[in-house]
Amino acid sequence: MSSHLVWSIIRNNNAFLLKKRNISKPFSTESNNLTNLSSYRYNGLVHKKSLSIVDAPDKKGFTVVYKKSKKQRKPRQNLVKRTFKSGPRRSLFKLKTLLEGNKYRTDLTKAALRRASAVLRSQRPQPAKKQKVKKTE
Amino acid sequence: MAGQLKPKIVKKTKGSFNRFQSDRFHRVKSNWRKVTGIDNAMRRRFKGQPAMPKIGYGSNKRTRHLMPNGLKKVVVRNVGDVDLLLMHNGKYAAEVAHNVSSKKRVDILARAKALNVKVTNAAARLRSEE
Repeated sequence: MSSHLVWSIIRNNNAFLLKKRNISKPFSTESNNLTNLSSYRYNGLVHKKSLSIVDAPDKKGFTVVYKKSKKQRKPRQNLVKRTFKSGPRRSLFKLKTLLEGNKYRTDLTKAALRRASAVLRSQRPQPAKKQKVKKTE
Repeated sequence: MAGQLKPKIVKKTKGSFNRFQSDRFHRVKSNWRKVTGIDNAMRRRFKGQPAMPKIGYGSNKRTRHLMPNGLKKVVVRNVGDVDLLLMHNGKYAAEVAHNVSSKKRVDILARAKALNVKVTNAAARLRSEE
């Protein structure tokens, strides 16, 4: 089925659609959605190719999950996972070459890099909590 | 998003509009009701009459629902909801729903801190350790 057809079917109502009060652009909770926004481009269900970036299993680095367009009818072999854990600079570079070299959804490259950096940033160790001076009465 | 210019938030009114004659009678509450009398001076917008709400008082579409810090509120009920804001911490702030227990709030706040998502009610149900 074409992605446009599927999108026009699921656009208005689907299980992953998450509307919030006073927000014009609804969120979407499906996996393989790079920005978690409900839109045709970022949707993880309708396209032959789509990708997402999640924490690596050990929370060090990130895992790229992408669809193989040729394995559309074989759900088990459809998703490919690749983990990048060789430091932010090299990982992001490798992600970029992976996407650009294969011409894999060039419209998503920028978003993928942004999400990967956000994931890496979230894994940084938290600064130690400042101790508040207790009031003496 | 980061680096994007944020328009100045302009509020055109201060506070609320009061119902006609709510200042004269206790039985008339200040909650807004449109005046409909045929001779009513307020309805006819005579000089010196209180202002009535109208569409012109509406906020700029781009700044509507923005908090003074330029973020919009998103009510969050669990850690998964916070994860949605991973790439939107410059646009949305999380607000933990009122019926979330203090135990689960700890997880939500920790995740929000890791993702650098601002939480509007981070101090709620928080008791300092003895």
